[in-house]
Amino acid sequence: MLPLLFMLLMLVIGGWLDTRLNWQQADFPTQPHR
Amino acid sequence: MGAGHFALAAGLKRWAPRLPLWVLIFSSYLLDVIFIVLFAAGIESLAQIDPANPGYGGAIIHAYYTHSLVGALLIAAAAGLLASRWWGRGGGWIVTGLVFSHWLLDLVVHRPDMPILPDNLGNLPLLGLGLWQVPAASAFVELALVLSGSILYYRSAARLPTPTGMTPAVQRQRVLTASVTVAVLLLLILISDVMGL
Repeated sequence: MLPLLFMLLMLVIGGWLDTRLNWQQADFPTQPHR
Repeated sequence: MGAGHFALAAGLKRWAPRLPLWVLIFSSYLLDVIFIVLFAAGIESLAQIDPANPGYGGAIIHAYYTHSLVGALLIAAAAGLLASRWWGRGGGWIVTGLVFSHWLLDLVVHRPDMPILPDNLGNLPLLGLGLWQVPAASAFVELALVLSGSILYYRSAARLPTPTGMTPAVQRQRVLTASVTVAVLLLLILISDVMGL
């Protein structure tokens, strides 16, 4: 059961922390070698 | 193999920065999400090889719809089509690939229990390379995926420009918080899975 709990935490908390980063402004992968 | 699928999703941010992490994670695990629903409905099932010692990779999984080659391709195509409504054609293709990547990773670790056609029509040979039979090797592969996915996620996040009105220090803190959380949770998924907790 613990792996499922951690997976749910990853989905919710990891997902939320990820939305706080400005990925919409990412200039990759169009400039991979910068 | 939960951690391996999730790590692949996190690492993919490098090539799909505009797809939210939760979408990538959910896509990477969609086949098992549907499996859980069908398991609860009694349509798919799993059996421990040694019921007295259930542990990491110690199960034969009778997922003859979700984990059949054709079934997985159909689910991946449907998910990609749905995702393309929100994230465009490129996002749809990435979701399609990520959903199907679950089947490919499972192919490596599963014992031969994955059919080609849904419901194992035609009784064709079951697929699976069986890495789970060597738990240490399987865990090592998953650990490599976890480390690679975590590093790729951090390196991608660290390249993001600082938004207007935010100090670089705050941006760095947010990148570190997200990256460390992702890495720690991936490791916790792997450790708890390997220890059979």
